[in-house]
Amino acid sequence: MDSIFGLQGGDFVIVACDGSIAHSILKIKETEDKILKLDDHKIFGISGEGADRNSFGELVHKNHCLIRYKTGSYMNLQETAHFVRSMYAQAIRSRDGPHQCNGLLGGVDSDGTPSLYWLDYLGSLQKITRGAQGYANYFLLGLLDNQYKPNLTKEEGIEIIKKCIKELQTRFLIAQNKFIVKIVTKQGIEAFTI
Amino acid sequence: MSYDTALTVFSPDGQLFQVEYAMEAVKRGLCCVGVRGKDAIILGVEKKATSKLQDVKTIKKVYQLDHNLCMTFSGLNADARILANQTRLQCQQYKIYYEDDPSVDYIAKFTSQQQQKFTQRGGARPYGISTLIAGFSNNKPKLFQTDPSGACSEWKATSLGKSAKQVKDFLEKHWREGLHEKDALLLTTKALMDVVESGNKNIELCVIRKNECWFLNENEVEELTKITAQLQ
Repeated sequence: MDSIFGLQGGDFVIVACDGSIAHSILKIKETEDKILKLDDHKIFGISGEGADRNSFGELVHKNHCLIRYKTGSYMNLQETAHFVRSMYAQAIRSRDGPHQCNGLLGGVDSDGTPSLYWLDYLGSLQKITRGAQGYANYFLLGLLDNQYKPNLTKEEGIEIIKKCIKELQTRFLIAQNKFIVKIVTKQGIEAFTI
Repeated sequence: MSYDTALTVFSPDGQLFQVEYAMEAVKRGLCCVGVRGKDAIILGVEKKATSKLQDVKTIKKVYQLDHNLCMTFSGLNADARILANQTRLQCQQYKIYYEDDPSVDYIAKFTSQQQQKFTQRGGARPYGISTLIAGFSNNKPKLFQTDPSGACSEWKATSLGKSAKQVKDFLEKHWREGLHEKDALLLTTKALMDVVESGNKNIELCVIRKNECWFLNENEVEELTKITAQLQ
């Protein structure tokens, strides 16, 4: 039931997630951060059941760090996206089965180029400029398509995300009050709650 | 009967010759030095190009294991790479289990355990390296040494490889408790310069601080060697 959505601008990427964790009819928490920081210029928003989200997130983060220490530097966005995809793909026919979570990987390379990738639990990988995971797709794709234009500024991007949040809060059956928004630019990662 | 060809055979006087021979390989290796200061540990290594055509700049002998943990060695280069990669993996695994960085004690013990495994296995040889592992434990800087037998010990300052004795004597005379980072750096550089072939290109230096590692680049090493030479 997680909403994860994001868009890529001229020099930034935004990924937003809802903050709620639910268990049957109870809302356990409203301020859960589902967007993982892989390094100073990469974020990975993960949608799925709590345990799967956490364990896969940790696996991605630690493997990302291991590669950094083995090779001397962090991977760039394209390499990271393909690496995460290969983790998903190797798992699907493994003994323990697929990693039951989907994700949106976004970030900015050292030369300032932003990219956003859509990943799903079977190992699909798509480079996108705007998109969402889960039920948010039904409500937001139209809105994102309508509002998106190439080379958005950061302020325009944040406005679009606010419109998306308002749309979810208006029309989505499941009440999602708090959203965590993370923006990656060449300077680093900014985070705030809406 | 020769007791030195198989690893898993003790000699009548209680020695494991293969392990001793591995330590000989270490003694023939290039020199490395570790110095523990008040808030940092310095690791220094001798680099040597095997021919004029090899680019000495590209030789990296201080391995970063984690954001504030580094390792260097004397002995067989390739064995060091393998051991470093195993230890890097262990650092990340520890973080998954315990949601916390491993202390340098833990990592040093892990490395020495890996080395010990290969003193009790048939068909395999010990790692031909002794390592110096530098990092923090409870916010205190620590320097550890491991060797092919799997022994692990903590040091204030030490050196390995060729000329280790000469360097250790020098360190014994000049090391004192509570060295500031700059002084520890100068001490390490001076210790190395005594035994390394002339040329600052042949020294690699790394400073391990509480939250980061600083690998000195070519120019910084050159600066240091100049200052050290002037002080003498």
